[in-house]
Amino acid sequence: MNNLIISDEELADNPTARVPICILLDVSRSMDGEPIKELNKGVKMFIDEIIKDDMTRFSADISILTFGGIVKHVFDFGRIEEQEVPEFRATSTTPMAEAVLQALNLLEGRKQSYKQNGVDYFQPWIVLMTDGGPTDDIDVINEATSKTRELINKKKLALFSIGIGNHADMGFLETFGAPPIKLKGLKFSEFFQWLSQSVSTVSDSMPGDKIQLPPREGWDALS
Amino acid sequence: MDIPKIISNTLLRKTTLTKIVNEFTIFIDSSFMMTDEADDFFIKELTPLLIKKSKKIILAQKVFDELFKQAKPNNKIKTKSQISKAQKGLDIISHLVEKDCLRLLGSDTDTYADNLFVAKFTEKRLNMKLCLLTQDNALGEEIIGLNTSLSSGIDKNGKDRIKGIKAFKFNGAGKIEEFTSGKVSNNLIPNTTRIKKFSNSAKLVDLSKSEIFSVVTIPTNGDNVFDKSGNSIILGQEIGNGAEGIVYSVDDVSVCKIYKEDKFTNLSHEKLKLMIGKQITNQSICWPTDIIYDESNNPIGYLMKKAEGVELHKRLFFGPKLIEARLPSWTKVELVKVCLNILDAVRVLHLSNVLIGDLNGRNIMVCEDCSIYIVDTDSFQLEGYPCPMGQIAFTPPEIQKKKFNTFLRTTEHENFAIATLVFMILMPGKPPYAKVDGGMITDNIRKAAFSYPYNKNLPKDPPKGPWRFMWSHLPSKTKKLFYETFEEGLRFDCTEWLEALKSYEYELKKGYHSSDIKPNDYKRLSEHAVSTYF
Repeated sequence: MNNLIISDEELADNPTARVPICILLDVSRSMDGEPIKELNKGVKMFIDEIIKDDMTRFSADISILTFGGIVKHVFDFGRIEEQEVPEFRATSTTPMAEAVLQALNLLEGRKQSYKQNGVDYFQPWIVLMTDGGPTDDIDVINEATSKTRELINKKKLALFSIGIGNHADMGFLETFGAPPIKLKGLKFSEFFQWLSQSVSTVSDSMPGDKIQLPPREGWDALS
Repeated sequence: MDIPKIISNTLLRKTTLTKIVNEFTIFIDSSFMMTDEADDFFIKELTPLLIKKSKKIILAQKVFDELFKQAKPNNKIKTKSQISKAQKGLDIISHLVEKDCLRLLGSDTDTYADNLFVAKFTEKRLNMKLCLLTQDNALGEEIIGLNTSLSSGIDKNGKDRIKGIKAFKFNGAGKIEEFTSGKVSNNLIPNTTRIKKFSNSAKLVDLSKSEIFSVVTIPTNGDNVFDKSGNSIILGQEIGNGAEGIVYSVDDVSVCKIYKEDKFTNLSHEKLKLMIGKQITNQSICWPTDIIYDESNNPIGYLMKKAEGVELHKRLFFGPKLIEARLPSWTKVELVKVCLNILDAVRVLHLSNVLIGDLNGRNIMVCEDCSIYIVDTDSFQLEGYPCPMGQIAFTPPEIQKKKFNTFLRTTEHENFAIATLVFMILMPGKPPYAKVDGGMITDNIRKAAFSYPYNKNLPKDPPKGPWRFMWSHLPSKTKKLFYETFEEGLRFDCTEWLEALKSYEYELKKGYHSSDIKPNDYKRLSEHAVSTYF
């Protein structure tokens, strides 16, 4: 990515407890056409929604990774207003597990920045969106799934995996340790709207409880 | 549209003041004379009227003696600020004496000053109209309670024979405000009284056993709904949409909450009835006033006092930069005033055995004049009804893992939330346990290790940024309460916080502390301190 902004000033000045969120987007070849178009639209809208509302602008700390052939870090934590979401293009294979491992590293690094600056934070989130299954080596897959399962069990991570279309490997997604949800059609915008609303409910959530999320009607194929 | 009138802020206008001076015998309490506003009020408003009408204000000898004792410079039990406050009180007394507007009321009993007012007012209320100027909310409310609280047997027509009792104080914005006991009344004698207490020994109500009321169609904007007497009310614009219901505007003084589908239960109905039966009438608390029904007479929501302002969280918790941008005239003085106004209101609730439970920055509204409104009152904890909600940041370590509908919170739990709220107002938005090498907010609270230094405790690891400077500028008494709450696990009630923050407010106005919301450096000795101690 072209513009990595590392901003300790923002970390020190903004008192709000953060919700670190890493969004992993499948941009492999099979996403070509309408899906990638809708995804691009949805992500841009998501960032706009987050910025529009003070509650989320100050608490949501967002990073975006894409996986299509290679894993790319396209949007970094920190000043959301100073970055642009690039246009995603669909290409090549699906290194999903590699993306998850990189996301865990990024979240770990971000937590270290919080600690250095004395910033409170909530349980980190990974949002994983895919229309297929992983093309990684089995070792990488095992490492990724066992790490996420352990973190989820310890309540150190919340993972939302979203299956797109009929070829998303829902059975595999489940091995990350959280029940996957199937996207209704190409309702990316509806999903991202829900996600931004969910972020704003985090600071209202109760200790020891699951995060209270808004209803998923509109984008969840089963609701 | 005939809906119940809800109390509105009755600021004392000049005509009212003239009427009071004309008709009432005015007593004054030391707390009133010790305020910063008292000077101006007497010199510019009250004394000229007293002179014009040849009236005198009554000061009990007892009150004078107390002030005199407190103002002694070698007074060892009082702080400097308390001594200087008492001195201000004495200044006002000499002003009144000089203008011949004061009468000393001798006292041959040993009663404490507060009881003395109650005793005097009880004794005199059948013969004259009485008025008390006091900053003591509990006393003010007790005094106006004397309008109707004749003990039985004395006089069957007692109510008619009481001439009328009023009490006034300075509100958070420094304006004179009348103590009111409930509904707006043209009568000089208000019809309700005293601080109403809810039982504090009720057993936990099991909310999981509630039955949902099903309603065929839920009314919305533009629809007619009805109060208990069948009066029709039109739902105005939607002004709030929460998890449980939608709030609609109704008129200038009240709003109406209509529950969403499957959110209104027989137990919430019972709780509302209980609340409406015992009105807590405080300017700052949006207590439910009436149950609201649909056409088929099903209960579907309730009316409450309308709030003003912006959510505390949005106003102050995004940090000093945003406050500077959106409230450029605000200083530390305004932050302290907001705390004082919140504490005043919560204190009234606690006196009535009500806990907010889910105290946080999103159910308090703050106006630009620092006045506040507490909303979402239907989730308050009272009698056996728990408050089923709570936010991580305001929940004390000992109940971080508990489910809120399974137990009744204690005042100690709430006092932790109060300390957190005050901290996050004075250090805008920063949670008290945020620290270098901390972790998730819930873990930080559970470890309960406070990172700001107090007394000999050298700096440990307070967060980076402006927070350590802000901390260094807080007065010692306030730091002590924070330190003992967050490091030592003690809890302080509203009165203790009020006392500390009132001194802070006074000292800020005197210039003893920086009034910068975000000072750029640690505190250095002020000119005042240098000239006093060196």
